[in-house]
Amino acid sequence: MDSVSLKGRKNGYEINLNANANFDDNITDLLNLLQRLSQSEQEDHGDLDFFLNTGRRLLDEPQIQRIQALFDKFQHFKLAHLAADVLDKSQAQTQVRKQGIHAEMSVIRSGQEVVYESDVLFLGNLHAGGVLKSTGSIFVLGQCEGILYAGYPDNDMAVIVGDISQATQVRISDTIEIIDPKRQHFSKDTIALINDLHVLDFDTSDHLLALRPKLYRKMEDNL
Amino acid sequence: MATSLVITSGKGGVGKSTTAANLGTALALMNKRVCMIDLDIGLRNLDVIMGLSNRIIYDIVDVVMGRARLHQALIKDKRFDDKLYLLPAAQNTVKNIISPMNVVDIVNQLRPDFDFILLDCPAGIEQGFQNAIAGADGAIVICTPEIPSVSDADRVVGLLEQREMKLAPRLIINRINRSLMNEGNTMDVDEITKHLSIGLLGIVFEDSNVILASNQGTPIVMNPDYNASQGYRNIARRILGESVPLMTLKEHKPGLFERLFGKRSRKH
Repeated sequence: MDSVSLKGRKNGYEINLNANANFDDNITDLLNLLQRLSQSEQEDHGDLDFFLNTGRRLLDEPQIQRIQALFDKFQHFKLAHLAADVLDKSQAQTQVRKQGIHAEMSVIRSGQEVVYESDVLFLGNLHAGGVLKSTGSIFVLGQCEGILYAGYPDNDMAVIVGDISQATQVRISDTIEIIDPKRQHFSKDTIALINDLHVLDFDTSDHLLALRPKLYRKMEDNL
Repeated sequence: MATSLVITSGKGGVGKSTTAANLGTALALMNKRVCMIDLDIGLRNLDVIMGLSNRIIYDIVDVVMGRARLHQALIKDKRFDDKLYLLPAAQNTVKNIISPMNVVDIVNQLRPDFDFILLDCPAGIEQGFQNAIAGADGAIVICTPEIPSVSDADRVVGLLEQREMKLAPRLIINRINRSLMNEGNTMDVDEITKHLSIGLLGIVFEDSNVILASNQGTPIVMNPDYNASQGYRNIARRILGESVPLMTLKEHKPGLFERLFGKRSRKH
């Protein structure tokens, strides 16, 4: 039985490699399959995209290069995507981290920059000159005198919730607001977010469900 | 074996060298053997404050370059028997001439002969700062009650915490103007200590006599009548583990009798 199987797709072919088979067998069978396809496909169809799935096997770099070398032998075949059904441990941990809320309780001092790839519940002390940066949202319960940067670098849906009256700046995605507590009123219920006009705006947390329903549900799931 | 302490601040002009000179002197007065090392290479002044400038023959760069042995470069302060020594910085070269490893070597050579080694750190956080903190077991951070000074101290504390020294950094708030602080025009002692989140080692009041004493090459701590002197002496006692209460921030207000006859119980 061949260790590779072929499926047609609207925009090319999907090839599944049987993860239980020896990898060398995968390579031999894949070469045979590509040769057969090359003979049957007419050249005037243009380039054909291939989506390769390795199932429950994770390939290392030399193995990926061997597969790429096979496709390079055929002028009109292009390896468009290579994927597996599994993740290695560190990738899985990163994904879990990104989905959860990280509680940060430390002092972030002048000149220090702390970066998280998740939402952050900030309970510590952010000094003037320090930066708390997150790819997700930031929920402030501590004291902030530095720069809060949510949605780094381009997550427009991120928000900053809490008392930001002492912060130097808040930044979300590519927008920046210099905080001036004399002109703006802030409280522990303040939300900073990017509005429909792509302007950094402020609201109150009772509107969070209406403004960011996905974030609200995510928070409910996490708590 | 000596404990080595770096005296640092980040910002210049807050009183690092003055503090190093006065703490070194105060510890020597308490019968501890102290060696002060000036690491402000190119801009040395610890020798001036100690009144030892004219006795410099070799300096720390001569030691590092092998032109002199360590004990040849040490200057003994004769006012304190054999309790207080200074290893001066070079004045005619740049900070990059010595490396952190050189400082570590020198400190380790001095450790068996002293109780304390005080490293006077240059301003800034570049090579000179890295040299100074490399040889230290702990740090004394100096700041004044001004926001730029507190902000720079905060930066320095962050860098010190990254190094994970044997002893946690401690804070001295220097040059406190009591009337400004009492009127709420500067950050107060509690605010600064809470903001920097490190232990408070002591406070020293602003005193023009500190400048006069430095100009004369006689650290003010040698005269116990001044408030600044008392502040430094208290800090030295705390370094030795004594429990000494903080000096009061209340200003001395002369009574009618004092105002009429100009009699003062204490120099201020």
